[in-house]
Amino acid sequence: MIFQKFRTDICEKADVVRFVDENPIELAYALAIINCRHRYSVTPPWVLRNYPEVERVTAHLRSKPCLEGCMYCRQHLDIFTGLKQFFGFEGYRTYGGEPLQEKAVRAAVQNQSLLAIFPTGGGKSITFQVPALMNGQSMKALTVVISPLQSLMKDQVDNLERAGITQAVTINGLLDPIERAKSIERVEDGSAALLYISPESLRSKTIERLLLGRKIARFVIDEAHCFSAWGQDFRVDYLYIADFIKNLQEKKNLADPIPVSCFTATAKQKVIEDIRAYFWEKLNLELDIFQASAARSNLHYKVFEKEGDEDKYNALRNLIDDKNCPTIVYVSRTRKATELSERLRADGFNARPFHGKMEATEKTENQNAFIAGDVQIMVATSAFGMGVDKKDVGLVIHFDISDSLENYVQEAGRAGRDEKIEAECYVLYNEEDLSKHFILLNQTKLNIQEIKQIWNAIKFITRYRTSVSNSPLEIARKAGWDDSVSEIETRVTTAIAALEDAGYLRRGQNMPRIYANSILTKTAQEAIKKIEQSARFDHDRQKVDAIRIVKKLFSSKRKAQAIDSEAAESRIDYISDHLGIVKEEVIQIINLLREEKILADAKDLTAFIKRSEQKNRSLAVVETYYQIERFLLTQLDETEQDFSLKALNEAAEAAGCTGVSPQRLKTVLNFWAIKHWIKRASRDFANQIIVVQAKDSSRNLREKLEKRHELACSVIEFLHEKAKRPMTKAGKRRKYWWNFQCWN
Amino acid sequence: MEFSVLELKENFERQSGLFQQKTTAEAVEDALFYLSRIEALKIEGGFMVIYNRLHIERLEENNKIQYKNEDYQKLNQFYENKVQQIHIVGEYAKKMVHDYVGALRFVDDYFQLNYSSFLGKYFPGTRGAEIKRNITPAKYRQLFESLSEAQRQIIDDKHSPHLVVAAGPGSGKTKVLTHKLAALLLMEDVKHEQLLMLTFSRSAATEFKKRLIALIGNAAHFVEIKTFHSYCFDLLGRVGSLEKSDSILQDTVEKIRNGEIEPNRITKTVLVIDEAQDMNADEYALVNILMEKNEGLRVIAVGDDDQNIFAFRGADSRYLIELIESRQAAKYELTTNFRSSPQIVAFANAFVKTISNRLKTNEINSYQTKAGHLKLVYYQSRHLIEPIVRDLLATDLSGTTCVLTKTNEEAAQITGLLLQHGRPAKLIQSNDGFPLQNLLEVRFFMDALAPHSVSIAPEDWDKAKRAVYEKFGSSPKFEIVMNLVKDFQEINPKIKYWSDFQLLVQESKIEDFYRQEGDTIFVSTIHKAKGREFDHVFLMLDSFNGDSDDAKRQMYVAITRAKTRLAIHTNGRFFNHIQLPDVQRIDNTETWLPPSKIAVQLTHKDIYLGFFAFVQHRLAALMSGQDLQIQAEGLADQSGNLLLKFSKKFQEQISAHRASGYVLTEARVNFIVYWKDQEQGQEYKVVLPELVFEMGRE
Repeated sequence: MIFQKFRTDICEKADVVRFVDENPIELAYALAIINCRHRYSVTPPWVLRNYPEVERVTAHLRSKPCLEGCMYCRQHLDIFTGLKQFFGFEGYRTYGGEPLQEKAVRAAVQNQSLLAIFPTGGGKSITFQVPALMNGQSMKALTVVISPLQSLMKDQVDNLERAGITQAVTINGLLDPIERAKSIERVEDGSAALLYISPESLRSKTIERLLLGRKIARFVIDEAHCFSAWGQDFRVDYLYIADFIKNLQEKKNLADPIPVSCFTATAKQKVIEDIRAYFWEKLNLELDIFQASAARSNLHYKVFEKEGDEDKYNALRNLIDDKNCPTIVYVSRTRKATELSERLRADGFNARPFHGKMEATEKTENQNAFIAGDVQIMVATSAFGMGVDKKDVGLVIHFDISDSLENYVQEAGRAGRDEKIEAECYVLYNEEDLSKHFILLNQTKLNIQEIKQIWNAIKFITRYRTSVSNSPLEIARKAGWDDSVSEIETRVTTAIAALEDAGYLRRGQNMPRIYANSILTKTAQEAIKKIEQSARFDHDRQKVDAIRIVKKLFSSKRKAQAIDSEAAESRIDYISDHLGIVKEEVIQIINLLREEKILADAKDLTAFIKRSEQKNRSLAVVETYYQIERFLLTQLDETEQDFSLKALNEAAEAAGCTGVSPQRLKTVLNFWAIKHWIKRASRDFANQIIVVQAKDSSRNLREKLEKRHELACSVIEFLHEKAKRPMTKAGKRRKYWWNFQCWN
Repeated sequence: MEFSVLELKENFERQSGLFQQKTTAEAVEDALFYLSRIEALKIEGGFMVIYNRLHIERLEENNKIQYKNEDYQKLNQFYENKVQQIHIVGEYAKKMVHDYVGALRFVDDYFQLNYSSFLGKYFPGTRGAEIKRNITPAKYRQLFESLSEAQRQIIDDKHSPHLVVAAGPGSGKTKVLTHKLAALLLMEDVKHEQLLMLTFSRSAATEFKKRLIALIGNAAHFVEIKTFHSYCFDLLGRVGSLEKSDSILQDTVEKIRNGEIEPNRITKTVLVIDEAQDMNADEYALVNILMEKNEGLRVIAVGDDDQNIFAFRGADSRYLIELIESRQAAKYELTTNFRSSPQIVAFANAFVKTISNRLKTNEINSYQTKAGHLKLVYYQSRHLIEPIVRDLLATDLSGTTCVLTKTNEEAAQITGLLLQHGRPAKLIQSNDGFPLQNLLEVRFFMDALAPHSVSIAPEDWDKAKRAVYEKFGSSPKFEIVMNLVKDFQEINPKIKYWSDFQLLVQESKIEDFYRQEGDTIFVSTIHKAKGREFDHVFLMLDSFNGDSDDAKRQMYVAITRAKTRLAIHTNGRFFNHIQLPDVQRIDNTETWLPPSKIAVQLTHKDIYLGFFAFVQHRLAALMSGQDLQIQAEGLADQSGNLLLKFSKKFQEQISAHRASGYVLTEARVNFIVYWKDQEQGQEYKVVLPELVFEMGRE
């Protein structure tokens, strides 16, 4: 009977009889979803949790191509049908006569794990997109693509949309909250079959919950050479990927491991070994290799030794003149890309720049103009080219040589995609360019001393509690790093990833601890009425948002009662993620809701006050800073001025600020900068010279300062008064700190 | 204790009841955030969500456990590979220039072969070491080829926890240090902000900065090279000056110990100390506290214990020994003398053995092979000025020449006598008794600059230069300003910070700005000649007490200044035990008389300072070097206006001179300096003259 009803929807050869015996409930759920015949209906998360076998059963019915080839399998699991259906192509690409793409797609459809080494523009995307889309259709499953390049994710999604495929979404830091909320919704409701995220996103609770709520078809890992210290771009945060997958499998209680596809454009043998070993050791997965040969017969290479940039420039002009075709010129620094393209334009060439630090719109504009053929020459850093498929580039000139053969081969390989044209790859070589790469490497390198400094900082921060939350900047300061170090946050997270990899710590998922779960009003209606009548809300939009938040809280309260789930939906970051309201705004609204007594006041703050500590100490600190701040205000105005910290310090002392120190001056300036009272930049580390500009009149700032001071004193008085009262039952003494932890 | 923002808000509004002060939850959060930033309270939770935070759970609870080399393996591997990848892509380019097929084969092999076979095939033998360096072979040669084997060992030691380099005279200490700094930055991934070099004098700091700029270019500007004092002033956030410097080191150490110094100013991975034999207890305490605060801080100390001539200020090379013995520093000796001829080296070797408790165990050997001249003239008599000048005048000299003496007075006499004989001579003076910024010419330049912001605009700089040249171009002291300005420009080519210039002036001494030029004979005390070298050195040791180790080290410093010729004139017997074949020994039995002329440079205590309040207007046009008239009370300008009165004490000295037959015959302006009358709080220009007394002329 089952086969009759589902003849076109499941594999004829599936062992339904066994499932009827062994997993009747799971089979029922699986068939129910299949019966919906609705592309976007997915198995509800709670079913997945309570009956993990459903996924396996569904897989047997729908995604295991049978050897004989029944009607279902022919129609739905055939990779050529898939290619035709989604992309309109008739055949897969071959490399040197070998049907590698086809083989890799077939392996994916058969749920194997694989490592594909395809040259850039070698149809890598199609290789995972076809199986992902097919799987989305047959299994309602989600394929997760992990890529380190956030801006490329959006490009990929947009490209698919242009091809009429709307099942791909990305969630990353570059999205605004509304886009983010939309993406999350689409993953949740099953309309997304492909999700692009960065390795960093694996740290987000929201993402974890999202992935727990969907069947995961596969993890696709782009730039897989990042796993290997032998590759050209090792990333310590990649090492967390398998841990994440493993954790996910455990939480989902999966019988079969989630398969993995790894992609990279170039990899030497050592890197391939590393990647395979990694997945074997961590996930027990065996990766099949699909490697295209790197040889390209229509590319011709030439290297010219050049003395300096002038010499290079002259050669560059001649080469472009001679060949006169779509051309990419690679340089190593962003500034040079701009300068060189300007110079070329001034000399009558049709050139545009492209580099990672450009405005996104300008980037897209230049890139599109180049692809369309409106611009002949692209002067670019290595940021250009990924995801760009332009067949008629006939000339790639490296004005500066790349920093590795891997990167060089990839970049040069952007010429002559069309195998019918003969393309030239030139390098204007000067040994000094290697020195520049060495210098850059030295600057970006995270050395062992720095990791030790971070470890010491963490030891310090965790001396009372083993589990802490700190911003990367706070950790950097504790480690004694200077704020002016470039990319300081990335450096901190990398150091922490290294410490995690060595087993010294575990980096948990980012966990802001605000809850808004104690609702005082009985019904949502009552709450909404209160909001509408309230005068506390700033404007109508805030009221609308407040109502949305209240509704959300009520609905998650119901869900929480329905199943034994954590009341996690009421966490600020979820609310923000789901409703597409920025976190700060959510917090503000929650505060207002508390004032309106719609939500209970949550004592979500903890003050640590030393038992022996006098109120006077705290007040003295406040007083000292108050003096310093008042003095500083007299020094600033709304013009940009250079200050020497040392001179400021002496002047402050002369003006009667006892207890002033350069450190305290900096604390104040940092705080002001965070509060946007001033603009501040460090000009010269060794000299302690800073540039400061007030962003408001000193009268206004003074007023703000007075108000804050009054408030701060009041806070201290209050807290110290409160600390004197006897301990509550929940209070528990830890070392010599009073610490009443109470997170509900 | 747990609380909520709302609670605080309500409390505040209740308190202020009468005035009905309203506030918002945001303002309260703001205040809380502020309180936690200034560390008045320790607060967690709530609003902190706005700031992107990492949640960290510590697994390794043992505080003693450090992040280790094994843990760093993967990253290290990656960085090492990156280095090789850069070399490899360069190798590809070079191959492609002349061997198309070979270059393609190279690429293919890179991706296909086992990595070790690939390296074996293309980078055999020494090339294997080459591609491990994070610097191109050409750059490596440029930086390190000129180093000797012993020098290179120091550059190559990347692993010893600390290094102590005992560097003999002329052994290229500065060069090794400069190259070591370059190696630390370029090859040992030490970031410039994590590298600190401390020196004992501003001139040494300047010299290192200049040399490092010459060696590695722009990157050198970011390296902190400071004197011990100025580093401490920096940490305390003070504009340093000599008056305030007495306890600065102790204060700084104390503040570091109490955690009052911002961690990012003292977080270092390498500390380099020049002239480390000159460390005293305070300086060593600073080094120690820095080591304590920076686990794994590498200290690289270079010095020559034999040249410690600052024992009077507590300098002691036992701190160097302590580094070796209790801190397990690797010890290197630089014992090749590139400066002096073999005779002089042998002589110095023989002499230095008489010093006790030495650090170096190996003898210095000479790199030069050309024979030099070594002459020892023994006198019975005192008063060696006359004969040493005669000897100098009778010698054929080419290149630089210096006469070294024990005291400033002797140096002044000799200078006078040389000038009398028509030989260009220059006395290396110091500014004992007044800081350099009080020197008229320097002050004029600084006043002309007087910038309104922290940095000096290029046009203001040029304007001040022109102004000081127009006004003081003919002053004999102009050389000092000019070299000061040149030094500053050289080490600060782009932005010129006023505070840097002030610091340079404050920490410098006049003797730092004398440059050797042509055939001018320098006359200097031994102390001021430290670190310099001359082709010919005439050393006068008249009634010199040479028994102590300290005195012996001074003599050793003097001896080792000479490159080709050393002539020692002495009535002491310190060198009697040295029996060397190449030393010319002369016994001079004549009786020498005191010189017929005595030059005396007056200092503040020799003149009646209060008098200057009344004659300021007469000093307006006065210039260093001008002749003055001698009057009974003091000195006058050419029109006979009294400019200066001698102090009572100096009047007595004049009388004493007269009693022994010397009469004051000449006077000229030596320095014009600013002096502040502490009682009145008023600053005056003051003339410090040079006087000449002559025998038997009345």
